[in-house]
Amino acid sequence: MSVEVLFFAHLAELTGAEQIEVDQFGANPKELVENLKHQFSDQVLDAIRATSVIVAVNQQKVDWDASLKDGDEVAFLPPFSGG
Amino acid sequence: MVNAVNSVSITEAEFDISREYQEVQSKAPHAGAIVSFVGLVRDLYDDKSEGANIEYIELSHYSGMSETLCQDILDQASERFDVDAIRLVHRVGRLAKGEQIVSLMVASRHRQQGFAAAEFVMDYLKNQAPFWKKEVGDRGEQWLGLKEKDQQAYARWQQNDK
Repeated sequence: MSVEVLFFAHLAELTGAEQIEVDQFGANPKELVENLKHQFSDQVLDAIRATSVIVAVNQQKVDWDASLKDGDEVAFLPPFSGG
Repeated sequence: MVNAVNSVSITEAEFDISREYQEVQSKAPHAGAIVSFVGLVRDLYDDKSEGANIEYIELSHYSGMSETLCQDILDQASERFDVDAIRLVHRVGRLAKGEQIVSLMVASRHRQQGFAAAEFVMDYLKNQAPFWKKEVGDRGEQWLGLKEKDQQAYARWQQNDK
């Protein structure tokens, strides 16, 4: 049981990873971030769960309490700046 | 809108405006107008102070999701405005100052709908599509976020919905 976690832009720089696999992922993205506390500092975790960050599961924007299942792709998206 | 033929391309490669123009025109044989927009990498920071320059930007995106969302934005524009075809190219990777970032071509029967659709697409793209720019220059490296004026431009369309 695991999910694929993707980080973008400054979050990828802060975590030092664009992609990690997480076994103990919890029930939703909120719990997932909580479960990353052994891997990342509080400062990094706060950046991931900042109110400006959008969560996507399987490339669909979702709420932070959306349920997760085995094999999901969970992405943390900082504010966009394309165009 | 019937027969709208929209396409999106996200690429590291440089694009050729005349080819983009021909591409959208070929999809819109009854068009009376083609509105085009090209976004470029600026050389000055937003406060426009002299003596500090941006050298290049790094553009990243969420591959897959960015294509889907851009296509969705074009299709929303086709539903909302009387346009025949829309073609969007968005570059990613390392782009030097002065380089082209975005090409948008909107073909329509009349210019007013084309201009409006082009604005709509760019406002939605800025607010909804997962792209990120990092400016690199005299002030070091900095990831950019969504600007307030872009948020306001987007909010204006939402207001019009009510």
